[in-house]
Amino acid sequence: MPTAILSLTTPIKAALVGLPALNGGQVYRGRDVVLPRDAQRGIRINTVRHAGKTLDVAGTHLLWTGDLAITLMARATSQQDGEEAIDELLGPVWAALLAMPAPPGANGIALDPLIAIALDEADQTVTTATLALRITHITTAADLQPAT
Amino acid sequence: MFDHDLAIFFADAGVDGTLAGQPVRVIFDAPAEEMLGGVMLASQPQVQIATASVPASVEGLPLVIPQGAYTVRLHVPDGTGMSTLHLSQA
Repeated sequence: MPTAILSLTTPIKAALVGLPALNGGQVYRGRDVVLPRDAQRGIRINTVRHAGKTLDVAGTHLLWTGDLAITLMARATSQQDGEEAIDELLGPVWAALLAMPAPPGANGIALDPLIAIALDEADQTVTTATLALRITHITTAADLQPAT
Repeated sequence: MFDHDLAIFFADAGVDGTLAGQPVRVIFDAPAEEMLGGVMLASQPQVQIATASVPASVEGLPLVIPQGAYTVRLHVPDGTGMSTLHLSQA
């Protein structure tokens, strides 16, 4: 059985794969790959860290504060600036994240969100928007399975 | 600045085009680079050109060459009579 650490990102990936705003782009989970030159848009989902503490006296459960980075990538057309380009992906992704059911053991995935946008110039303006999501969730201490 | 004829540099690898409507000869290159900390791969189209052929305030002007239509993004003279123009897709 996968741990709750992996189980958190599985439904997030499922919610984003095939999103029309991706225009056929890929969703990568747990990868450190470069968006190919011929891809206009893409998403990377990466677990950053999970900080845990014992939830009960017996120590059978753990309460975790997890940080995920969802990196949206887009290339601007010659008629767009970078913020316009990434916005076409940011809105639908955010809506999909809020609409998805909470992963097992978690109450929600959009607590204390942070959006960081970065730009660079090449043949096109390239833009990333990193959604830093804080997720609190509970697991069993023995095997890190989702718990409620 | 070199005082010899720069045309020899453009004789073989150069291509003819227009910069803001004026005829120019340039050497085109488009290396791929990882951008934004290795997140995205992008091409960095650029041309080598004689600095004397570059008008003032060239940023934003159109460059049309056989490889495509571009807009000049950045002018970098090297001080020897040659310049590099960094390009964006028009």
